[in-house]
Amino acid sequence: MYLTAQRVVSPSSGATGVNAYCYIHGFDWTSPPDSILDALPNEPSSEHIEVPPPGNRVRSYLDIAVPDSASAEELSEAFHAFVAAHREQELPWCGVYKRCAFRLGMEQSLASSWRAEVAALLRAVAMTLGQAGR
Amino acid sequence: MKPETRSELEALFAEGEPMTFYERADAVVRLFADDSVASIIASLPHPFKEEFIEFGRRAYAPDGERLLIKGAPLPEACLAAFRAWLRTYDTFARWSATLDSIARALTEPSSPPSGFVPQAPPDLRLVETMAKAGTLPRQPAAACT
Repeated sequence: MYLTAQRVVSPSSGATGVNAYCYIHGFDWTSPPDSILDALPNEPSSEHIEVPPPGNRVRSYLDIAVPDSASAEELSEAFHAFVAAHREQELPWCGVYKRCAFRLGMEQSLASSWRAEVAALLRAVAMTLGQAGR
Repeated sequence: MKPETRSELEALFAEGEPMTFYERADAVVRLFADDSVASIIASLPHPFKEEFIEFGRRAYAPDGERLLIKGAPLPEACLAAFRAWLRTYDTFARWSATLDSIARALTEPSSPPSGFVPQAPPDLRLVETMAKAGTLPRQPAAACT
């Protein structure tokens, strides 16, 4: 599963919001394949759109690659490890924890409230996942 | 407990065990191979029954409605497909709840401040580059370590 959320701003209208997408890989892995975060597997299986693409400027993003067989606990543990390992480092953050790969970046103006920004991105991903199962 | 008979299934619902929709649905679908689908569905409690029927229609569309109201046991291949769907969506629901929980924790007032603000480039100038989905702003891959 490839989960991605981005806070975007439309250059034309100035509208801002968070767009999120959920893609199903359809295969499993014991460790994330190289460049798993650099390639979309296929069409998004579900999405949450606040500012219609394309052409928006991305102010922040969170990418998550997780095998479809991963449990919620595994995902949670890996994400916490990712944040713990990078929280005092410069952005963007990128890391692999067990079977999960993460990438996070944001503008300097958002970095001072990075917790809130990560929370917003996570909520958008969660909403997209929720829609996928509905 | 995984119910193997109608009475065990009814007991499962009556006990009100804390189970997700998908776990309950899986327990229902298990019986489809041996009993009348319509009869089993008719015995489900409200509001689970309505949600289950809606899920089944989506899972099998456009043939789902026909399969679910036919009254015959579900073919084995359909049963396997249905259960695969349930497993997948149960996973989605659990991931969703987990990520939402992490998001809440990140913004709770009691959450200890790190006292550190991660630095970012003055302007990342990230632009959506994949027009089709409007996604993948990408940092150079070299940024990944």
